[in-house]
Formats: sequence, C-alpha cells, structure tokens
Amino acid sequence: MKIRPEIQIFPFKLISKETADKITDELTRFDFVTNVSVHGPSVNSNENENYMVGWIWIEVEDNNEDVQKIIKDVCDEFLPFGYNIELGRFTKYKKGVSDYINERV
Amino acid sequence: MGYKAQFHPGTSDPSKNRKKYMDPAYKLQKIRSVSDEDVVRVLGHRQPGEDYKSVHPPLEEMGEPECPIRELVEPTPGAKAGDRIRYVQFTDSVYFAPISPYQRSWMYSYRYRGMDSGTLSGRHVVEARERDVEAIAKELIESETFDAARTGIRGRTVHGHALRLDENGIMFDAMQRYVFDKSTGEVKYVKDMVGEPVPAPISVGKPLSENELKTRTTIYRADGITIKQDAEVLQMVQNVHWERSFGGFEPFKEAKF
Repeated sequence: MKIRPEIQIFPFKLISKETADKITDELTRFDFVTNVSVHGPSVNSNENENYMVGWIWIEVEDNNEDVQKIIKDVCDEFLPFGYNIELGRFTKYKKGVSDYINERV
Repeated sequence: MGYKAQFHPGTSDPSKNRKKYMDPAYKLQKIRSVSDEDVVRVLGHRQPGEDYKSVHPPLEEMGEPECPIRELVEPTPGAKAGDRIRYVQFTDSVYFAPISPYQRSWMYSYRYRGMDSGTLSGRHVVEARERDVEAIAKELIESETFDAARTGIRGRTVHGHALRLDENGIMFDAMQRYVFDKSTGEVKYVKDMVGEPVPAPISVGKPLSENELKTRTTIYRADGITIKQDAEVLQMVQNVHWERSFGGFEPFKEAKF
C-alpha cells in the first residue's frame, strides 16, 4: 500500500469554517490533492454545531516543490496573518488495533 | 521616614502596569461605560430591577453580639443587607490581555473588601455578596483591565485562554457569548456569563490595537517584553523559586542563583 504524504497547514489564527471551506474548495481542484481534512475546536452558536479550524491536512499524491508552491500560493491568499507548513503523516491511513476491536474502518 | 510600598519589582512596562493595578491609590482608568442594567444582565444572577435575595436579615435587625472586631470593621453594603454570595469570573487570553489571573488576585486583594478570589491558569473567579459583586464587575468591565477581545466574562465553559485568536483577533469562546460586529468594529455580548441569551446585545466597545495592548499588558512574553529583560523581576522570581524549593533547608548556606 502506498502511503501518501500529507502537508499540514497550521494557521497563526483559528480560522472560521467558511474560510477553511474556501481553502478546501480551492485545493481539491488540483489533481495531485487526494484528500483534505480539517480539525479544530467546536463552538456552539445559536444551537448550531459549528467549529473553528486550527489544522488543515492536505494529502497529496507526491510531495515536490511545485506542489508546495501551489499550496503556499493558496494559503497566502486566504491566510494573510501567517501559517506554518509541515510535511509528514498526520491522519490515520490504515486500521489500528482498536479499530479492529470496535469494528470500525 | 515614611515607607512607600513598591508592590512589584522591576522597571519594564508589564512591571509598571502591575504596580499601577496593585496600588489601591491608583484609580483604574475608565475606558468604556456599561449601564448597571447591562452588567446585571451579563452576570445573570438576577433580573434587572429585581430585589436582591437574602440569606439573612439585615445586620441592623439581627442584633449582633458585642465584639470589638465587628465595631472595627465596617461591613460591605452587601453584607449589611444580607445578600447571597454570587460570583463573577473573567478569562484572560495569553495574547497580551491587559491583566492575567494571578495579577487579578493581587489587585483584588488590595482594592476590594469582603471578597474571596480564586486563581486558575486562565480564569479568575471572585465571590462576594451580590451587590458587591455587581459593583466589582462594573468597575472591572469599565476599566482598563478589561479588553473587549482578550478578556471574557465567562461563568462556565471558560476554555480558550491559550488558544489561537480568531480571524478578527477575538479570544476563542466555545459558547460564542460575544460576537464581533464587523460594521461597527465593536464586540457585543449576546449571551450572559453562563450562556443564556440576553434580550439585546450588550456592547463592550472596540478591541484595543495590538500595540496598545502591548503597552498595557502585565504579561511577560517572548514576543513582547521577556522577564529576562527586567533584572529585578528575574531576581525576585529566582528568590521565590529558591525559597520554595529549599524551604529553610540548611539555612546557614547562602542562596545561589
């Protein structure tokens, strides 16, 4: 199984769901992006479930300088207050022991 | 020769602010005004205009025993009337909030009577008789120790003081008690301290700018003024650390810093 690398975006401010959606939409247009997941603390406004986004994980086919440049351009547009980029693997890509026990995928 | 209290060591900006806030002779600068009714609404302990509930009759009616201490100490208005004990709690962001919980405790101890304060890492609760709490809350909310964006009035779900700020520079609040009004640039409370909606949004004014906050803060930070830049404060911290660690062990030995 090929383990695809992930690029983590860590914005210096907690961004709203709307801004995160814009970034996600922008990124998923590219073929080399296979998955985009977001994570952050939840907020309850007017009894609606909502959340803020503190981490964005972009799974890519292959990590290279062109890919990073495209991702940086998108981030510069939507995150003017700054961000960190890190390369690695941040989300689960195969079953773990507890997933077998709980019969989750 | 009169002794003048220094209150806090150091000469840096945070140190000066700490001295200012702790000195009871210094009158806190008033930078916004919030009506009495709005303060009562934000606290949510009673409806505005409602009578104060009491736990005992007024002191005058009670016929207190003869006691020199009771003669010496003037009861607070709330204690005189026999009010319930109520609280107000503030959360202070680590991002250059005007004051932080520990300094709140110091400041309250110098400024207020008949209160019990509790310090936690990100929040500070003060308990007192109901009308005293309202007076304390009003003074604090209107004063320079409160910033619309970096200070929160939170009874519960206080989490967020160490989280990143949001896009508008507002401290994270899971209950969304306050919202940033983009058209006016003001922060408005739409819920009370424990998250119950209030009839009309309560404005607490515009957040201070980053530079303004940096001059007003009492927090030493790596990206602001660090504690190492203020030798006297560092010396005090090391002293306290030494005293706590050794606690009188081999007192004939000199402390080594």
